[in-house]
Amino acid sequence: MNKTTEKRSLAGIAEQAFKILLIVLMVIYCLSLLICFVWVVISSFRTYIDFTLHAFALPEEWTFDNYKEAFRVFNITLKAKNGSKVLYGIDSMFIYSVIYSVSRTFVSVALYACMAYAMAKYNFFGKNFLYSLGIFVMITPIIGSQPSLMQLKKDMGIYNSMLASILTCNSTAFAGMHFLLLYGAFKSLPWAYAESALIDGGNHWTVFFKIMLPMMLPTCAVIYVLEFLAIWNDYSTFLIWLPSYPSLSLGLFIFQNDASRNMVGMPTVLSAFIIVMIPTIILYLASQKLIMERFNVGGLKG
Amino acid sequence: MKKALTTKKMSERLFIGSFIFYPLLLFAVFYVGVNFNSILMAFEFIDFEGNVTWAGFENFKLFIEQLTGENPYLKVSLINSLKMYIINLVICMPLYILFSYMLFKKCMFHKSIRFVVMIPQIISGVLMALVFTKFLDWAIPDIALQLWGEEEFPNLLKHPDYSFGTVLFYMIWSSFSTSLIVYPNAMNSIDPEIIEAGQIDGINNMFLELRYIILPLIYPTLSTFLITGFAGILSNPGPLTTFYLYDAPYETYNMGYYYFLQVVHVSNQSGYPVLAAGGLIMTILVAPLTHLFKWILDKFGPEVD
Repeated sequence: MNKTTEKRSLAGIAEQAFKILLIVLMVIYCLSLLICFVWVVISSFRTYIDFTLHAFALPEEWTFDNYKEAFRVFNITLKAKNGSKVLYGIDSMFIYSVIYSVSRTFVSVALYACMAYAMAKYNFFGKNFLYSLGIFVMITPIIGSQPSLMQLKKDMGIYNSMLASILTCNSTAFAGMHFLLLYGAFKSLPWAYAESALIDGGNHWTVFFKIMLPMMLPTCAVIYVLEFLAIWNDYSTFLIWLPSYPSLSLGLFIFQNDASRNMVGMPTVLSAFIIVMIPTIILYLASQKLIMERFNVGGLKG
Repeated sequence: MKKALTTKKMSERLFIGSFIFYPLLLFAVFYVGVNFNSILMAFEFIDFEGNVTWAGFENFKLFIEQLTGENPYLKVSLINSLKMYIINLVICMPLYILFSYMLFKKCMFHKSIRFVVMIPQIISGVLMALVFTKFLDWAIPDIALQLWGEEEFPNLLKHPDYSFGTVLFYMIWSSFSTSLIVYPNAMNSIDPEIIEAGQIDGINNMFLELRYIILPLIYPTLSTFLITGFAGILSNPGPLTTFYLYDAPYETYNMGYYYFLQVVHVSNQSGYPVLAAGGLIMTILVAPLTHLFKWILDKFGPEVD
């Protein structure tokens, strides 16, 4: 009896120790992320000489000059559509980033919502096939189709077109995690409200826009924020598909790569990063609670 | 009555059509069309002036020749892509689950941890990579000098012996954000009564609770991530473009990066067919494996009683 109790208490101690180890690991991990973030913020307020002497130290003198300098020198030169070289300043990169991120995310979430709602709430020919096709598309890897897409876009005359890129951004709106999240959420909404509205003379559009969509806005907002963050920080899309419309992210990528060649100090580069980061931080702080509560992914049945 | 029914039905069909028409059109053109074009392209020869002729299986032959000997980059890319997935499966996945369990149990600092782990998602990947690079450039050599008196410390991102390991470490380090949001949320959706009933039945430590309650109930979420991760084995470039853009060391290449370079560097369409043939071969190899993987996970996954 004593031996069993002793074994149990030893197991309990081992479990507690393991839990403490896990917490310590998580705290170390979080600290490593925080240290990076704090280092970037602090370094952006240091003078160039101070930073060069000790990269990882507190500033001897705090300065805002790097931010002024960043606004002045954060520009890149790229080839325009006609082949000539064009200088893009922070203002034009900011406009491209805002237009692309806001509208592309809107179009993408709207398409997910349309497909998810139609498939969750209505019966129509091919609905089950479409759902299975979505799962198939989601888990079937298509490798190396970029050359074909490039050729198709060039042939259609929509390569390097901002508007076309936004309007055609989501070609698999009935597949993927965000579709599944919305599909599950629409499915869980009761249809009784819709029936009442239809009896009262409303039509299906009224039901969607005035009843269902408002109830689904928090979930749509979570998907919007997550997609927005990914698109705002993405530079490869602009590098490959929209080379004449550099976003802030692509601009930063080129700016930091060319910084030493252009005699731009690291504190100025880091200030530029902070400037670009501000919208995403505000958006995350505003939506953090929603993301923590609503972002969930189910299984792949189909 | 019949007319009213027909009008009602028509209105419903019109509504459904208006909602699904455009997404399906995009799917037809930019998914089906692109992939169909990719298949056709694999059998074509395109000269420098853009003239297209039938090439039979020449592009496939060329790709296989490159894979089996002539092109060492392709071989190392394939091996590294597989290594990346295995590392994710063996190291990252258990850590995601264990950390998520602790967050689900509302461990010390759980709110702060969930807030901080989102940093890689919020800030630009370029900045994360830049900070990591500067840390390797400045801090690590300084630490090595102070601890071991090592004056010539190698550049870990460029040295042939360390570059791939360093890239893997960065991938793991920056990968926790989505998982530490999704898994705890999935665990939170478990009915507390199930856990209480389990405790009455003798499930009285974390390992038993994970094994018999948590894992079976979050299994759909878990398998979704495993399957989509498997599907992306050969198309995920990882952080290579961010670290190196066009100049990644040979040892770090993976398939996603290899294809990125080919698409960006092929100055005219003549190089596309071999890439399309290669993509088709890879798809034919990996797609059935992914479906088999899903089937295995569905078939042998834990049953929920």
